[in-house]
Amino acid sequence: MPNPITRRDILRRTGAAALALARPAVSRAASAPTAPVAVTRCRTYSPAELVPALQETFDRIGGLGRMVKGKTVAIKLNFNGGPTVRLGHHTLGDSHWPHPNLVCAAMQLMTNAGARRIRLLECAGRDPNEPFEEHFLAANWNPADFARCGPRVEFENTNFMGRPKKFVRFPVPGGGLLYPAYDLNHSYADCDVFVTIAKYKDHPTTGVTLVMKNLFGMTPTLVYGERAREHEKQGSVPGSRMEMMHYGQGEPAYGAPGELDPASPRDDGYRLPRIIADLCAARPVHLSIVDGIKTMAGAQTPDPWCTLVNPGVLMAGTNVVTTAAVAVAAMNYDPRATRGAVPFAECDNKLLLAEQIGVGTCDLSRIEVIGPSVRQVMFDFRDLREKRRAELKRLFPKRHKYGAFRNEA
Amino acid sequence: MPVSANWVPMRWPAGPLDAGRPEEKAPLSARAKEALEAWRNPAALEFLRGSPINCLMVNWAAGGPRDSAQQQALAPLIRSARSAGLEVVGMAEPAADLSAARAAAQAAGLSDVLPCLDREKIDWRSPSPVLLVRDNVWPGIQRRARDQAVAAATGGPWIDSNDWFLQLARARSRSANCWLLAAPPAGAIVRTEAYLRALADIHQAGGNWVISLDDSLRAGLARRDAAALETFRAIGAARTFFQKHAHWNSLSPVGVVGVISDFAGDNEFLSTEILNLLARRNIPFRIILKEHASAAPLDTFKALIFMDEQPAPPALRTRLLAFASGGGLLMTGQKWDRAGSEPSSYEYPRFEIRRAGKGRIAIAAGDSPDPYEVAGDCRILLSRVHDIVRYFNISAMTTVYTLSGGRALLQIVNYSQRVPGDLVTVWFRELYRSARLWTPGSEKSEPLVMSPENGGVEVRLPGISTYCAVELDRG
Repeated sequence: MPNPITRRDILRRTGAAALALARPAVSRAASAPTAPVAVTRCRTYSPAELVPALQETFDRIGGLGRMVKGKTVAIKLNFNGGPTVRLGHHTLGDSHWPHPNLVCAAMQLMTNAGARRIRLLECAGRDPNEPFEEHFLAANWNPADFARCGPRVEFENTNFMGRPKKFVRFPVPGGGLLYPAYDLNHSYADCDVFVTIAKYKDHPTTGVTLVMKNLFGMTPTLVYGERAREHEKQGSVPGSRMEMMHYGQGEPAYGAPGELDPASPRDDGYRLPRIIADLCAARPVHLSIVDGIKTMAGAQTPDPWCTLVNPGVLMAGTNVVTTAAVAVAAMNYDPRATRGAVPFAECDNKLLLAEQIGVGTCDLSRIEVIGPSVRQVMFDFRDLREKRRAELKRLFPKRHKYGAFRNEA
Repeated sequence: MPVSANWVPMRWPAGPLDAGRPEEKAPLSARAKEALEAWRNPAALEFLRGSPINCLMVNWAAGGPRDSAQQQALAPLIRSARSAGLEVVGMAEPAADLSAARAAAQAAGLSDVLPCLDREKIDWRSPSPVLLVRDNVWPGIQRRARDQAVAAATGGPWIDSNDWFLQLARARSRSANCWLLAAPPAGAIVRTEAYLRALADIHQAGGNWVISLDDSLRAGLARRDAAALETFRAIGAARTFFQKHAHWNSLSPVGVVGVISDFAGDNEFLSTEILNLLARRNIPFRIILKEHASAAPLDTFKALIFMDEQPAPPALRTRLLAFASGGGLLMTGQKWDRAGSEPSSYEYPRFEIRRAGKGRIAIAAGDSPDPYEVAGDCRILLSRVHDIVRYFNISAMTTVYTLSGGRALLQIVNYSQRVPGDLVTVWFRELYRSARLWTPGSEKSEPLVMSPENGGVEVRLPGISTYCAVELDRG
C-alpha cells in the first residue's frame, strides 16, 4: 500500500493553504482538510492494556503499515520543563511528559509495521556536548529501553544543528502568520513520517497544550532563545524562548528570518498561537498521538495548583488539527472558542488559526471520530478550571494576569 | 582545660573588639550597641538556661592595643559564665600573640584560646582537637540585590554552602573537629529558618557551627522578647538534634567520582572549586589526597579527576593509567604524559579524549581549566548511566550522601525561603529495603514510602522546610 503522505501531498497542501488565505475565514474553514480521529479507552500504562489499545487506535485510522513501512519516522516528544521537575512525587510520564511505556509501545508497533529507522527528537538542554540520552537518564528513564524498540533508534537534541552543522529552513505555506519560515534541526526534515506525541493539558499562555503546541518545542533556543544573536556572536547557548517567541524581543540568530510584522502585538496570547499554527503548516504532521491516559490539569509544567488526573483515553489521527480538536472537546472545551472564551480567555485560538491557513479543520461536525464518542470519553478539565479559579480567587482576591491566572476566564 | 569537640559553642560579642575596628567608618547601629552592652551584662546569660549551649566564644586577642580593654571588659561575664557551668573559649586573630593570649586567658579563667584560621592556612597536622575556621560562607541562596538570586551551574539558584569544605576537612584530618565561624550578613533580616539552615549546612557535613546571632536577635534576647526567645529555642532544639545524631559524622562519603589533589598551593583554587561545583551539581564525590592516592583503593570509582599543575608522581601515574585502562574515566590537566594512551575519534571541546585500554583519559585542552566546566564535563563524560542517586524537585537544595556497611544516610538542606511546596523524590541505585525520615525536633524517625524504579528504588519525601535526613538500610 503506498504511503499516503507524499511530497505531492505537501505541495498540494501548500497550495491549498495559499488559496485558503485568500478566501474569507468561513470558506477557508469549510475547505480545511479533515481526517478521522481514533479514540480508545485505556486506563493504565500497563503494557498488557496499553499495547492492544494503541494497536486498536492505529488500526482505526488505517493502520501504521501504510504510513511507516520502510520509512524513517521522527517522533517529536513533549519533554517540557526540566527532567528533574515533577508534580509532587508523580513520575514525569504520569503527569506532563508522554509516558515512556506509551512512547515505547508506539515505537514497537511502528517497528512491527516495518519502520526502518526511528528518531526521537526534542529541544532539550543547553549543552551541545551532552547526548540527548542523558536527558532521559536525568528523568530516571532508561534510554536503552527505547533503543530496544526498533532496529535503528536515534536520539537527537534538536536545540542544536546536529551533524550537518546547519539548520534547515521550513517556509510557512502561504507566507506565515508571524514568521515567514522557521529554522529547525535537520531531523525534522530528514524523515519520511513526522509524529507528534503529547499529553493533553491546560496551558497558561495558549489555553491548552496538545499535539499542536508540542511543535513549538521544535524551535531551537540557539536560534530563538533570549538574546540569541548576542549568544551567536559569543558562541554560547541561549536559554528560554520566552523573550523572543513569547514577547517579541530580539531577532532570530544564525540567519533565520525575522518576523513578518515587527509592529504586531508583543502579547504572547497573540504570538504563540500564530507560531504554533505556522509550525503545524511548515512541518506537516503525519501522525498525532494524544496521551490522555494520565495527565495533569492546570498547567503545562508542574505547579502547586496542578491536579493529577486519569482521563483514561488514547487518541490518534493523521491530521494534527482534527486530532487536537477532538482532544480539546474531550477536555470539555470548545475547540472553536474565540479569544475571550474558555480556554482561550487571553489568547487567540491556535486551532482556528491553523484551520484558517489550511492545516486542518477544528469543526467537530466535519471530523469523524472512530471509537467511543467524545461525550463518552470526556474528562471535565473545564470544571477543574472553574474550581481552581474559585480557589485562586479566594486565596488571591486581587487578580493578576500571570502564572496560574492566565486564561483562567 | 583543652577544648572538647563535643562542646556546643556560641559567639558572645560583648567587648570593645566586637564593636569593630577603629578604622571602620560605619558606626555601630543602635541595635548593635544595645546588644553589645546588654550581652556584657552577666544577667544576659540567663536565657541560655535550658539550652544545649555550654560554651561561649569570646573575642580575646586581635594583636592590638585594645586587647587588654577587651579582656578586662569581659571579666565579670566570664566569672558568671564559669560559675554557671559554662565553658568560655577565647578567639585569637592571626595577628595576636597566641602564647600571651593563652596566658591571659588562664589568668582570667577561660578554658582555652583558639586561633582563628583561614581555610588556606590551616595546618592539618595540628594536634589540636578543634580547628576554628573563620572564612566561611553564610549558607543560603546568593543574591545580587533584594529578591535577585544568582543563577548556578544548572540554571537553579546559586547556593553558598560550606559542605564541600567540610568534606575536604574530614578527608585531610579525620581527628580534627572543625568549628566554623559564620555570621549572618550585617543588616540583613534573619529569619529563624535561616539559622536552622546555617546549622544544618554545617552539621550535615560534620562541622560544628559556632552559633552566631544577628544584632537584632541578640538585642531581642537581652530584652527577653518572646519572638527572639522562640527563635533561640528553635536553634537550640535543632542543635540538640544534631548532638544526638553525632554518630552520623562517622559515616563515609559515597560517590563514584574521585577528586585527587594536594589541595594546596597552586592547586588549591582549582581543586577546591571543583569540589564546590561538584557539590552544587549534587554529584556525590569522594576526596583522595594525593599523598595517599597511589595506595588508595580505586576499584569503586568510575571517574577520577586529577587536575594538579604538577605531573603525577610515577607511582600515582601508574595507578591512574591502570584505572583508566580498566575502564574508568580519568580527567587530567594539560601536562599529562600521553604515553600509554591513544587518540580517539571522540571530539570534545574542552578536553582531548584518548583511549587507554577499556577506558578513557580526558586531557584538558587549556592550561587553566575552568572548574565550572570541569564539574559539568565530568557529568557529561562519565554519563548519568553511572548515577548512584538522582534527585527530583531539589533546585535549591544540597545533599550529603554517606554510608557505613549496609546503612546509608542522605541529608538534604533546603535553602529556598519559600514555603516547601515541592515534594522531593530520590532514586537510589542501591536496592535499600527501608527508608526512614528524621527532621529536627523529632524524637523518632518516620517510615518513608518507597517503590522499585529503574533497577533501584525511589524514596518519596514530604516537603522539606530546611533540613531532613533519610536513614537507609539494605538489610
